[in-house]
Amino acid sequence: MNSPANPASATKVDRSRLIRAAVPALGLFWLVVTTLPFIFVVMTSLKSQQETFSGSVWSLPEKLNFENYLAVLNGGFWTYLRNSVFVLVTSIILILVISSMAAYAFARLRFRLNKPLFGLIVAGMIVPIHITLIPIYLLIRNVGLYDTPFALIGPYVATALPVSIFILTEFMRQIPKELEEAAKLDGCGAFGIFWKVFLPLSGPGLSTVAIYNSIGLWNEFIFAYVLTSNPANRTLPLAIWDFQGQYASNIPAILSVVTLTSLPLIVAYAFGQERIVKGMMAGALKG
Amino acid sequence: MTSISLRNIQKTFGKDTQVIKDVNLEIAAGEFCVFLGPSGCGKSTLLRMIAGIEDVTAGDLAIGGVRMNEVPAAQRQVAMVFQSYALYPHMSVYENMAFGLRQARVDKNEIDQRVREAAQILQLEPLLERMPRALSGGQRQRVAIGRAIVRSPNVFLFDEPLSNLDAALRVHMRAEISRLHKKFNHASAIYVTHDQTEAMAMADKIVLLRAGPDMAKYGSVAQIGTPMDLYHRPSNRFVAAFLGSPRMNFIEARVVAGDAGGLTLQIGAGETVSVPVDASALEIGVTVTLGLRPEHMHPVAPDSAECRMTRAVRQVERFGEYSYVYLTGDSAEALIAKVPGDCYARCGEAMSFGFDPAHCHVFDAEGLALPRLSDND
Repeated sequence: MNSPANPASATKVDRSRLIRAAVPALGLFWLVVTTLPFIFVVMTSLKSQQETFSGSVWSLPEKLNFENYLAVLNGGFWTYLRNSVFVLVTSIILILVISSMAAYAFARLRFRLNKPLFGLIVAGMIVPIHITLIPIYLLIRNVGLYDTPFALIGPYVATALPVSIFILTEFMRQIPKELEEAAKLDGCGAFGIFWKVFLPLSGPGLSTVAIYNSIGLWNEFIFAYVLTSNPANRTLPLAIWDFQGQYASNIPAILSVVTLTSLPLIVAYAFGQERIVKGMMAGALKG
Repeated sequence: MTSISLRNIQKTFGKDTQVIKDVNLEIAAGEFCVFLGPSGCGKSTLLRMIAGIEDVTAGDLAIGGVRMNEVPAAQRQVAMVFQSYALYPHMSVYENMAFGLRQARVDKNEIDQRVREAAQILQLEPLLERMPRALSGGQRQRVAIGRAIVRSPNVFLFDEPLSNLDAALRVHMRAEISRLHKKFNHASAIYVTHDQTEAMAMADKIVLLRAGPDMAKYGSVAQIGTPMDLYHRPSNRFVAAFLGSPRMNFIEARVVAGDAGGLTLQIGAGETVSVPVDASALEIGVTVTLGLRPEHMHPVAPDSAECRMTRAVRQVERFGEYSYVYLTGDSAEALIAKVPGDCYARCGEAMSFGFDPAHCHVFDAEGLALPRLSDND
């Protein structure tokens, strides 16, 4: 026999239908919010400077104008790119080495000040980098690194370490203790356990840290602006400076720089997306 | 051949959480010893102390006559099989098995030979290049055992290695581990389990551990002995209750008469039984507990001379070959009798049972077993 219609269950069905309809609508809305600025940047970069002033903001370019891109590529773009790649690769390697070793120590080694020290490092995440600008500027100048690509590596590594250590410590805490004990019985010391067991198993976590920091450091502007002055030593985000005059800005050229600067990140994200999500989700479910 | 000796072993976590108290134990070379006990009794902790991955708070631990308290795990010549297998997920089966030998800088050719020998014994040869995630539970277990075997240890340690397997595989692997131990009989083995069937089936010696207030009062070890010793001659009520499924029946009884030559107990209205135990320490009229295993109760006619107990049937569970008959006891807890499958038993009806007094156990108010006058087991 069928049970009589239940008003409570009818409301439940209505609500779940509403949710099912709302989720894609909200997703679409968010896609528009995040993609529109990028579409604007690409579209405007293909306009002439005259067109940006005369036409509507959202109008399509009258004809595809690649002159801005040629101007950027024939300028100092390749020097900036080389500097950016050098600073980024060196910084990321140092961040991964230091943060993974620190994370292993915090996650697995028992020592006296483990918890307070970890708390102190994590608290480093809340320090706004802008208040450290003047001391870092003075420090870098005093050690003779001012206006070199090396000037950026120290501050980049230091500011990235708290969040990197935090992510990797949580990741390594999820690695079963039995693996560590098995390695101990197999004759590994603390470093052997880290190097041969924890590091290979932390691949997704390391990828997360690398990609997360790469995005931040690739776009980093303020340290690069304060600690370098010669165009030969500057990084990509400062390339826009070439097209910023005292009285006027070449907006399409600046946006060409922005487009070209974003491309490597977009490509990296397209390939690394799965790893980022895996890294973020690691340990959330029993594997 | 390596013996293991534990003298007054204690383990305390933090300042005052004692998990192991006063463990004294000798495990002979080549012996298969099982640590058995309920959850939280410290059996895994004791094993981990022997392995060297947990510190000994106090006492002496010796392997092969050498004190090992401060010796690192890798130098104790022990190999451990973990409950979760603990295979390195990023290494192939071969690499997992070879890892310990590589750490010990054993010659490459010898590593290869030892890994392949172990793989052959455990029928792992076709799986050597596979990653652990591509193996079934049973295969992973065999790899974990293989990883222990290749190191040719003096002591094998097993920490509940079968608890993640299904029932059929568990029975198969149980026999496999026993077979392997006989094959490598130079090595001693310590096996931790909470499953009494595994313990009874595999052990040369069982160490039954207890937890909670009894551990704090009497120490961690409830009894040490062969499986048959513990089953037929439990030294206290905890051991008697822990071993056997269904567990031993406990019946409140009053001492009617007793001396060094035997004990007469009243177990119900007009029901008395004479048990061959030394009752010289008991006074007439005190209450004791009579222990009787379900398989030692057999149905008899109510008016027969063998009849010792008549109770109402509360429930019957039939398993074909045998049935469990639940009887109304003196307390809320039912008495259980194991009877032949074709035995007539019906809920609500009274049923009479006989038993051999020589199979009875008597426990005093402290729960300690009274000494038996003869052992017929």
